[in-house]
Amino acid sequence: MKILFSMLEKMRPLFEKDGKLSRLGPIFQAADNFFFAAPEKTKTAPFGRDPLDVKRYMSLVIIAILPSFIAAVYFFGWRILLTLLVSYAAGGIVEVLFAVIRKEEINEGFLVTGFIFPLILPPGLPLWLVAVGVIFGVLVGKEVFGGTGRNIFNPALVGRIFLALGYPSAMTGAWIDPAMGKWGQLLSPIRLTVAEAVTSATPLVLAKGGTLLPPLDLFLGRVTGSAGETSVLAILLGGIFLIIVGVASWRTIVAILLSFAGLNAILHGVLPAAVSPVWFNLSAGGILFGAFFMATDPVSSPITQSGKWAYGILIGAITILIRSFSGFVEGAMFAILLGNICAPLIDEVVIRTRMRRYADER
Amino acid sequence: MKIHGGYTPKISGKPKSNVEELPLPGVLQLSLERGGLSYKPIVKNGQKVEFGDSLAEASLNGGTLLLPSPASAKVTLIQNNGKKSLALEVSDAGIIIGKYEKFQPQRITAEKMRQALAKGGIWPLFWSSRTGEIPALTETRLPKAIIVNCILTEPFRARGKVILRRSWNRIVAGIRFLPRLLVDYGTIQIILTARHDPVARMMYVDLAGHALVRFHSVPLLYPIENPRILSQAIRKSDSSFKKDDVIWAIDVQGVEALGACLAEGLPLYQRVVAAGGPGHSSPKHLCVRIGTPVTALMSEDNKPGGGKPPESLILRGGLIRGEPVDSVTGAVQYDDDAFFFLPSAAERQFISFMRPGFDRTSYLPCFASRITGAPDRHISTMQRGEKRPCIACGLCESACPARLIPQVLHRYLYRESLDEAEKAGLNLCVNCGLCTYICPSKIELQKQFLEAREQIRLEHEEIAAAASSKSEKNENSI
Ligand code: SF4
Ligand code: SF4
Repeated sequence: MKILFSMLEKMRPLFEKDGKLSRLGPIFQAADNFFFAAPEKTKTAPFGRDPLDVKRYMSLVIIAILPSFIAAVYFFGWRILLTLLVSYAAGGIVEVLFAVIRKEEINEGFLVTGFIFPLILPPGLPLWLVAVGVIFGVLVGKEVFGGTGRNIFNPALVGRIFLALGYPSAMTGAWIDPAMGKWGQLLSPIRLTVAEAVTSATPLVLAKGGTLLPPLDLFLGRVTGSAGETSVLAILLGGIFLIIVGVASWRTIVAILLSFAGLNAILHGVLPAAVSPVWFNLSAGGILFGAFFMATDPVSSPITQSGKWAYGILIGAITILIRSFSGFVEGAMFAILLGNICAPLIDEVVIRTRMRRYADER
Repeated sequence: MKIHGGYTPKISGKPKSNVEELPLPGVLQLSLERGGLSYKPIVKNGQKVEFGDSLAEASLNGGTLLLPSPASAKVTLIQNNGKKSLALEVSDAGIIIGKYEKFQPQRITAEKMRQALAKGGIWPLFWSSRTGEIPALTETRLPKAIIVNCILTEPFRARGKVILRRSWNRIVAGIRFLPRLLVDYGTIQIILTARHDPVARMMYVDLAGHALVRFHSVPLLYPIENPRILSQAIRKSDSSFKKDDVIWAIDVQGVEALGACLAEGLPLYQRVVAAGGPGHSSPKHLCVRIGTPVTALMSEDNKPGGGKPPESLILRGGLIRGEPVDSVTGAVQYDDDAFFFLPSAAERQFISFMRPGFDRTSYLPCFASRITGAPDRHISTMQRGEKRPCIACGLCESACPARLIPQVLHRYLYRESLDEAEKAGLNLCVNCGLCTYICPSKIELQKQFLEAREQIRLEHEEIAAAASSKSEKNENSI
């Protein structure tokens, strides 16, 4: 630790304003602040501050997604770790490049995007497509808007939808059957490419044909699907953690799940043949993962607390409508993206209403 | 009395609740610029004054406020970087009871009371909802209610209970005088933690029969002590208040001084201050003469060269609103009640964002201290994180006691649209600083709001000036 500290201190002058490598300053700063807490002192009141910073905020999200990641590795093999590395590397390069060009700090938000991205993809997707997707997502979903905090869409989602629209056959051909044994895929070697033979249908596709998979398999995640989305158990573990530590907005989550389940129940009551029951729809596909980890992304959801209710209700309802009545079997991604589009609008309405009250109070 | 938002961080170094009397130091330092007032000395350099003699005066909307001497002493006028102050070389430590006229609550007239309070140096401790500052001495619109606030939640202001226990009789005497300042059928609103607590009950008994007194209990959340928050809550709790009814507020130490002034003829001469925070090695309440230098508040090993805890930044006021005072020349002034010792040197913690955080407390329940209940021992003048663009986490909104959405204001101001910011409630901000305190992106929201308001004020003034010069021109041309 001491050695590391003195090493960083020795290197510091190189990266400072007039140093030889001053252009790479953001990289040095990111490394420096990764290992040691930021050295800045407060200049205005309050002179003492709350210890929470963006780094910790983002690392809490990553901790919450960890169970889903572990489940993904268990069911679909170590290949998932490889896709994660590719996602971090490719997206990281874009992030760092923009930080250096803009002469801004490197933002921690990317660590979450890069972590989520491989988990919402079919586990057998070729690695180069993972890279293409994440680069597109970070570039178009975030950097063109001016970086973390200014983006309208969830960058991971943008990348995912780009792949779904741009490479539909690769995407649908990349599902892997989950491992069944006690050790899952933990003991099998990494498969770089996945033979077509192992691809199979996801629960939602099967449901269209009238087959409902058993609840236990869905709950544990022993089904085909996007790498991190299959295990209800893992998602709940992480999701509840996020709510307890106060990082995810419980309003968004509750609103999505309630509106989704409510509308689902009504539709199932009216059209039992076309619409699957609530328990099945909740535990299959990407709705849970989306509700807990994607719709709650604070930047791309409404910023007002009451706006979050409207946003959640919208996403939940649209997801079930797409699932039930369109050619797509999964609607969560599109619904969240639509929610992202509406978020500023919802905020505007909430803020205008508030403004009227402020005018009264004056 | 439901109050929105608020948060009181749990910090180590909470002052003990006994009050230690500090011996009178040889020299007292009185600042002539306090609380937005600027006093002009009315004594000469080298002049000898007696306890309670007037040292300086300040004018306030037509009236004159006086600054009484807290001790018998020889006066030296000092000018330091354009800041004027008085140094008093104490010649006699005694106080003179009955230095001023003594009164009975039933006999005193409102006019006499105001004069006595202006002379005793107590008037500036009042706050008026009409001005947002000290009420004018000649104010004709009398308050419909006076709030007596016994709760100070900011770490670590002198606690109301400590003062109540210490100066019970003076406080009760003070409350008996207050109705003189009200309109007919106005009320005294006493703010306490809980109605059933022994102090509240005692007050209930002692003030029984005073139809004008009302009790309120409020949650212990910063910034409940803010007079604007309190007066808003009082208005909401009682529908008989009209929008433009005036409310005044004073805190419990102010009432104590008021009681001492009117019933015993004493000027404002001492304060109970809390000296605490992680940088203080024996945090406690101290009763000190006004003008006591801050060095006297330090414990032995805090003093320069004393060794133990790391050097501290001394904040006048609490942790959140406090401003640094010079540890050499700073002194306790008539409106001080707290000095926070904030450690200034801190190590850069190794991978701090991954540590469980047993020694740190946060607004979000994401540090291990939330489970153990340990206070924050790690707080210092470090910013504790890097500045980042707003991540829209919404913490500022949930903490804001004025029900604003600070991040929206921040966005408007970032785009420099002052108009929108004004519409979004910028002027309702009570400057509590909580949003800045908790923002994980370390954005200095409150400072930004303060500057924007100043800018708006200047613009309005310019417009008004332009309008008046225009009308003048018109008149001339006619
Ligand atoms: S607390 Fe800071 S980062 Fe969070 S919403 Fe408010 S301004 Fe943005
Ligand atoms: S906006 Fe103003 S009132 Fe609200 S938390 Fe910030 S400083 Fe306090």
